[in-house]
Amino acid sequence: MGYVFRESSRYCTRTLVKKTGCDLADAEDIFMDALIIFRENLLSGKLQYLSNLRTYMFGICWNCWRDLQRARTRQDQARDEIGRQLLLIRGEKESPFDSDEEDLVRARVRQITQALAQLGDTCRRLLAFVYIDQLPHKEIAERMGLASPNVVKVTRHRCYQQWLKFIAQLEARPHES
Amino acid sequence: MNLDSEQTDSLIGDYLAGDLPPGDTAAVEQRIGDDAAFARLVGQRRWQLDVMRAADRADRKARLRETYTFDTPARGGTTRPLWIAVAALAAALALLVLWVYLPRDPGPTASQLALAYLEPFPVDHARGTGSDTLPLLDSALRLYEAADYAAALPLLQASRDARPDDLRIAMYLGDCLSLTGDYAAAARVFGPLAARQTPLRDAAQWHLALAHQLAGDTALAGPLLREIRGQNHYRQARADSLLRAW
Repeated sequence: MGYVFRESSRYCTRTLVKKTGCDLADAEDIFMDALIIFRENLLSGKLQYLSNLRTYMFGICWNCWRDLQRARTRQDQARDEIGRQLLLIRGEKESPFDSDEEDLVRARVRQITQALAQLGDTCRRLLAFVYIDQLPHKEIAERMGLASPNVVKVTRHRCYQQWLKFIAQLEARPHES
Repeated sequence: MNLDSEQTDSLIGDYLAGDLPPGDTAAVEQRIGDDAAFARLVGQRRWQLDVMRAADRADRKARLRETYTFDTPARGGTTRPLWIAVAALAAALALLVLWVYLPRDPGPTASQLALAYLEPFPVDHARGTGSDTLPLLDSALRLYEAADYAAALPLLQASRDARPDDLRIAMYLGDCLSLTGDYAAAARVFGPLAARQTPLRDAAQWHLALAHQLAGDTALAGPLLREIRGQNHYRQARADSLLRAW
């Protein structure tokens, strides 16, 4: 990622400021979002062909900027990074925290992240490899030193069910989350 | 489809992971269309996974902020003199003429892509307990995980001398060499790993191909990438993109 940052950060942030009139700090923030999305595309195989790194990175920056602009209220974006990332991931028109049920939504997000924290390191890594990085089971087995792709599948089932169980327990005791 | 809640969650987990065969995926999607309660549950699980992804991104972003700093100068508020705009236009026209008439160099794009693909082999924390402990290796891996590859390198070399048959140490060493720019040495480490039938053979083959590519040895990288592309190899798409970048 260091290489991608060095090669494209200056170009992307300056072009974003020039084309959109946004603040430099906002452009830098958007570039960081784009770097993470670039990594996800790389790992999941979505990046099939790259003719120009800077153009590709700027394309991601542009899409992020456009999605954030569409949100009706931008106050929550500045305040809450998870809310901002949910906007970018789901492409919705408003922050998930920008509604009458803000407290409930915040509680749900807290329960989900707390449930993740309660999982062991192996489960957390494995669920991230499967659901976030979307890596093939064979690669996950290799990275985690597991015996076979089938072991990955069985372990993933167990970890996923455990995570859901923790979420349900926290939902049942909202005052503790 | 009449499943208990754990079986239903298991099915949804498989569906959202992309693990179902095409027929079962179609059946789940049909059920999403026909069964509102099931559709709501799938939506809820999808939202929970999106929160997981959002939390992961937020965490990564915080770490990226600590690792990298921007050096973009602040823009001034004054307008530029006209002569600068004219000079910039003349330079752009000259570049355009050069771009049209000079031969293109296809090499750098493939190397750019190879550098983008270069990610350190992840550390396996399940190792290194009890009799397996090697303090030198622990120190090396701490530096490796902190991306201080230059400092990790001598410790990994020493660890490898202590445990010459440890495949994972060899992978970490090879990646340290690549990430500090010594691609030829990295290729010498990965070469024997890629030739042996071990659980890490596929990973070693890929890292070897990247090291050859970055060392400019396209004659060596090419056949490896074609082999990776030709197999039912999980890095098939990446190998294909590198070959097409040539």
